[in-house]
Amino acid sequence: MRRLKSIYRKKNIIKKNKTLTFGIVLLCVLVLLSVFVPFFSPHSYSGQNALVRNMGSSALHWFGTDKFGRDIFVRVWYGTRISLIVGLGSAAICGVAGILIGSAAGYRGGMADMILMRAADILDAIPSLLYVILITLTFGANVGSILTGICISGWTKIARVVRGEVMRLKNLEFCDASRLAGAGNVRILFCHLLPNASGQIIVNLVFFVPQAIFTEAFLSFVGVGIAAPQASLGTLISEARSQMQVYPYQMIYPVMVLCLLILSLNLIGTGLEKRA
Amino acid sequence: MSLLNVQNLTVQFYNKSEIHEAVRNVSFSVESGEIVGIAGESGSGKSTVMRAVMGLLPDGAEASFERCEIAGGRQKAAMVFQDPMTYLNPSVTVGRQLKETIQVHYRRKAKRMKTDSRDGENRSMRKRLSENELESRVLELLDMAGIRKGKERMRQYPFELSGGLRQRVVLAIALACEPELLIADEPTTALDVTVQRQILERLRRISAEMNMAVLLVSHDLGVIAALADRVLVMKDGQIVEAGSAGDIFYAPETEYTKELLRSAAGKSALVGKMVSDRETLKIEKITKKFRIAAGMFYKKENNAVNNVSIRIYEGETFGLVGESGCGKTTLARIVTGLLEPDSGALHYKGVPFPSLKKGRTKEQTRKIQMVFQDCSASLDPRCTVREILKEPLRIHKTEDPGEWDEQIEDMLVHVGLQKKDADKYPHAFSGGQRQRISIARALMPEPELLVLDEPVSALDVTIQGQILQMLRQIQKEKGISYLFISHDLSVVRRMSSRIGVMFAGGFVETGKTKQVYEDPWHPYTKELLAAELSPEPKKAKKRISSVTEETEEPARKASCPYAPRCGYVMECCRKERPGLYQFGDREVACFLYSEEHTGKRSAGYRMTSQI
Amino acid sequence: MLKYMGKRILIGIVSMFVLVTAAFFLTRQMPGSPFQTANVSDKVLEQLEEAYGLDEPVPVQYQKYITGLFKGNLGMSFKKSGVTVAEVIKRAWPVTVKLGGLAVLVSLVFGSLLGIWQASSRFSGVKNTIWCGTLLGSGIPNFVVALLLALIFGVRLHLLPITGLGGWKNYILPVISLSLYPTCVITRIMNNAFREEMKKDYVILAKAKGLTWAQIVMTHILKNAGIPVLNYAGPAAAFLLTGSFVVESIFTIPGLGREFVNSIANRDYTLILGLTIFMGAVVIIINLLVDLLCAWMNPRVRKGILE
Repeated sequence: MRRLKSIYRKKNIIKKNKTLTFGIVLLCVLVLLSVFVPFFSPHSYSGQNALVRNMGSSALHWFGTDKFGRDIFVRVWYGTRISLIVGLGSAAICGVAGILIGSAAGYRGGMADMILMRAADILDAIPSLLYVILITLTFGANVGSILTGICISGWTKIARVVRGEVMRLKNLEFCDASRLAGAGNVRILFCHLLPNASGQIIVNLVFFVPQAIFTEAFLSFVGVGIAAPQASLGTLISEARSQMQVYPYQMIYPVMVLCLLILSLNLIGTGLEKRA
Repeated sequence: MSLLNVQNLTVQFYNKSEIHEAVRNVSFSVESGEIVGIAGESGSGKSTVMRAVMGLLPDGAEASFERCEIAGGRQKAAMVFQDPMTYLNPSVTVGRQLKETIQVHYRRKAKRMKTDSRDGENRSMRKRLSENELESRVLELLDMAGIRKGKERMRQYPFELSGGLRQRVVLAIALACEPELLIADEPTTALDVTVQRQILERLRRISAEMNMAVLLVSHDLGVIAALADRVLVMKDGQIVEAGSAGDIFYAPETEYTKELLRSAAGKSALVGKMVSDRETLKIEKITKKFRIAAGMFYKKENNAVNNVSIRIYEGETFGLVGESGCGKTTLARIVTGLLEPDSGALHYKGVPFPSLKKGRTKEQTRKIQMVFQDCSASLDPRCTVREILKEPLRIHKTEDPGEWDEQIEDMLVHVGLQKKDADKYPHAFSGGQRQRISIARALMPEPELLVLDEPVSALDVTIQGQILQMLRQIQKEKGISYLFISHDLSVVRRMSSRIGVMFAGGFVETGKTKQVYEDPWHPYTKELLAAELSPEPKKAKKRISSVTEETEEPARKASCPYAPRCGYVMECCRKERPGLYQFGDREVACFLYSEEHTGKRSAGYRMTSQI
Repeated sequence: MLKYMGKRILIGIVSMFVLVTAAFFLTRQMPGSPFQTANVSDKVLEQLEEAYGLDEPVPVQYQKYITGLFKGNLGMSFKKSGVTVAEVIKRAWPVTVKLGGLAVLVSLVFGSLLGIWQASSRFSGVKNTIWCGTLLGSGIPNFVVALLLALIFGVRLHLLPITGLGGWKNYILPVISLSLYPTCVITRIMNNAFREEMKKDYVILAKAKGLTWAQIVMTHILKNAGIPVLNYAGPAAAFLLTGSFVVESIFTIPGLGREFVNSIANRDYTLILGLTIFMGAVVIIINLLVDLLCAWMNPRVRKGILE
C-alpha cells in the first residue's frame, strides 16, 4: 500500500521531466497503434492483391502497398507488435532472472558469488548475436527462439548491476540497524536493499528493451529472424530493400516506426537516469 | 601594506531561482608572517571566504568586493584542504603530482624574471627544470613537510599512504609554490588527534622559518588556540568578533563567542558515578582477525581485536577511547552480534550470547542495540521516519499494532523532535536531527545496553552538547548501560564513569575516568591527553611545541605495538607483547608495571604511575 | 596482478571451449542435410555424406573437429567445392579488420572528443545539441543507417560509391554506418565520466596549483575518466563485428560478415561453424586484452592490493 502511495507521489515529478514525459507519450501512442490497428483495419497483414501493387500512400492504404499488394500500414503495426513482445518479454524474463541471481550473488557472497559471476563472465565473452543466430537456425525462426537466444546471456548485465548495488548497500549502517532490530535476511533484501537499488535496476531494464528490439529487427533483416509472410519490422525493411531505389517509401515507413520505437524507449531510459 | 587585504567581500550562491548569501560584507587583513585563525561552526561561511580569496569558487557562486587582493598576486598564496584523500589524484603518483607543481611554478618565475629584466641583461632562465633538479626539489619539499624516506614515498600512490602522510603531501604541494600566505582549511579535522598535533607543529615551524603567513580555518577552537596570533570569529557569513588570541579566548566580548567557548570548555566536566554492581555485560578474551592483501602463497593477517575483555555494570557508561584503526568499531560490532569473534566469549547477565550468525535470538538481540557513527548511512533513505521506527516494533510484535503510531510519536518527542516529523524522509533533517532519529530507533526495542559508536563526532560542538545531555537524561530515566566509543577524549570524559584506552586492537589502560585522566599510567594515554588541545592559547601552544618525532614504522608482531612511538621503551618491549597487569580497579598493559622487568615489589605495595 | 591475469585467461579459455562445443552441437542439430537441395540420388547422397564424415556418431565427429581445430583445420566448405573454411577466413579476414579497425578508431576519437566538448563546454546550446544528436544517433539501427546512407548518397546524389572497396571513398559510408552507434555510446560515457571527474576535489587542487586547463585534462582527468571508455572497447568490438554482417552485405564488401550471411542463406554448415568460432574467438581475445589493459592501468590492481 505504501509502495503505491510513493509511486503516486513520484508522478508529480514526472511533469517536470520533459524527456521522460515525451518518451512515455510516444511509447503509449505506438503501443496503442500496434494493438488497435491490426484489430480494426479492414486489411489483413498477408492478404495479397495484385491489382494494387506498389502504390504510394492513399486514402485506402495509408502507407501504401508493397510488391504483393499487401497493405503496408497494417503490416508495420503487426511488426511493431512483434518488436514489443520480444522487447518487453525478454526484458521481463531477464529482469526477474537478473534480480534473483544478482541478489543471491551479491548478498551471499563467497562461493555462490564466484560461481554465478564466472558463469556470467563466460556467457558474456561470447557475442550473443552469434548464438542467437545459431539457435534460431536450429530451432526455427519464431518469437520463441529469439526470446530464448536473447535471454540466455541477457540476464548478465542486470545481474551485475543488482549484485553491485547489493554489495554496496549491504555494508551500510542501515542494514546493520535492521539486523539489530531483528530483521532476517529476506526482509533486509526485499525491504531495504532492493528498493534502494531500484533506480539503477529500472534504468537498466528500460535500456534493455530497445537493445532487444534492435536484435530482433537485425535478425529479421539478415534473414534469420521472423520470416515472411509474418511481418516483422526487420523483414519489411529487408523486403523493401530490393526495390528501395524505385519505391523508397516502402522502406521509409517501417524504418521510421522502428526508429521512433527505439527512440521512445531511449527517451524514457534517459529521463529516468536523470532523475536517479 | 598588508599581505592579504579583504574589504566588504560578499559571496552569493545562485541555486535555480534562489539567491543565498553565504558571506556578507566580510573585511579583514593579514600581515606577512602572522598566523590568523578563523573560527566558526559549519555553515558560517569561513571556507567560502577562503575559496573566494583563492579564486576557487564553484560555478553558481558570485563574489563581489571592494577589495580582495594578495600583495604580489594570487600566486603568492597556496591552500591546504581538509580531506587529503579526495584532493589527491588517486591514479597519479605522489612524486609526479609534486613535480608538475614545481614545474608550473618555475615556469611562472622564469616568465616574471624575463619581463622584469629589461636592461639587456638577457639572463634567460631555462624553460624547464631537468629531471634531476625536479627530483631533488621534490625531496627537499617532502622533507620540509616532515616526510621521511622521501625517495620511496615519491613513487607511491595516495592510497598507499596514511591520512597523516597524505596531508603532509598536500602541504608539500602547497609549499612548492613558495607561498607567502598559506591558507589551511580544516587541515587536521580528518586526522587522529596525535597526528593533528604533529601537523600543527609542522605548520608553526614552517611559518616561523619561512616567514610565511598562515590563515587557519577550523571549527575546533583548540586548534585555533594552538597556533593563532589573531582570531576572527564567524557566524552566518559575518565576522562577529575579531582580535588577538588572548583577547578572544580570555576576554570574549560577544555572546556568540562566549557560547562557543562555553561549549568547548564544557567538554571537560567530569562525570564519575557508578550506579550499581550488577554486571550486565562481560566479554572475555575476544579476538578477531582480518585478512588483508592475500597473495598467491601467503596470507597477511591482522589482529583487529586482540584478547580484549570488558565488564560493564548496570546503569553505567563505559567509555572506549582510541584513534582510527585501533579496533573499536570491530569490537562494537562483536558486542552487538553483527560480527562473529574468532575466539572468546560474550556473556550478558550471565547468559552466553552467540553472534547473530550463530543464532542470537530476537529476544537477545533486543537487549543490545547500537547507534552508529554515520547518521546519513544509518537511516534507509527510502523509508520515512515512521517506517524506520516501526520496524523494530513490527519484528518483535510486542504491543498492540494500534498503539504503534502513538509509541512512535512519543519516542520522537522524547528525543527532541516533533510528532509531525514522523512522515518525513531522512534527507529532510540536519545531521543532529538524524542522529536523534538513530537514537530513537535504537531505543524502540527497549534495550538494556546501548553501544554508541562515535555518535557525535560528525556534529557541531553546540549540537554535541545537546545530544550528550539528552543521552545522559535517558540513561538516568531508563537505567540503560552505555558502551560509549569515541576518539574524542573530552566527549568520553563527559559521559563515562569508567574508561578503556585502546591501541592496535587491545586495551592499554582501563580504570575510573577521573583517575585515568588525572593520573595516566600508560605512555599512550599520556600522549593522547597531551595531544588534546583546549581552547586556551597558552596551554595549547605549549602542547604543540613539545611534540616528539613521528614514525611511520609499523611494530613487529611479537612486540608491544606502541614500542616504536614510546618514549619509555625498553629492550623487553620489542621482544614480547605485554599482558594486562591489574592493580585494584586499574589495568595497564605496559612492562613498566610488570614485576619481571622492574623488580619485585613487596606485598602491600600500592602501584603509582611510572611515567 | 598475476593472479588477476591468470583468472581472466582461464575464463577466456573456458569461454572458447563453451563456444566451440555449443556451436558445434547446434549446427549439427540444424534441420536438413546440407546436400538435400542438390538433386542427387540417394546413393550419391550417402557417398557424399561419408566423404564429409557426416555418417559417424556425433561425439566422434566432435572429437575429430576439436583435434582438427588445433591443427588449424576447420574442414571443407560444403557449398563451395574444394575450398577449405580456413581459406575463406584467410581471404576475408583482412577486409573486415580494415573496416572494423577504422570504425573503432573513428568512434573512439570522435566519441571522446564530442564527449569532452560536451562536458567542458559552457554553452548549454552545445551541450543540448550533442545530447540530442547522441540520443537520435543511438536510436537508429546500423543496418538502417547503412540503407539510408546508400540510398541518399549513393543512389540519389551519386556522391559516393556504394559497392566494394575500390578506393578510399568506398570506405566512407560503411565506416559511418558501423561507427555511428558506438560513437554515440562513447560520447555519452565520456561525457558522464568527465563530468563526474570535473566535480572531484583533486581538480580543485590542480586549479589551485595553477595548472592550465589542458594540463589538468590530459594528466589528471582523462586518466580517470578514460577508464569507463576503455572498458567499453570490449562490447564495442563485439558490436562492430556483428554490425559487419549487414554493412558488408549492403555495400557488397567481401569480408567475414558477408561470408557469414551468405553461409547462413546457403546452409553451409562447416562454414557457419568455422566463422562463428573464429569471430567468437576474436571477440573473446579482444575482451581479454581490454580487461588486462584496464586492470594494469588501475594502480591498485597493478600492485596487487585489489583484485
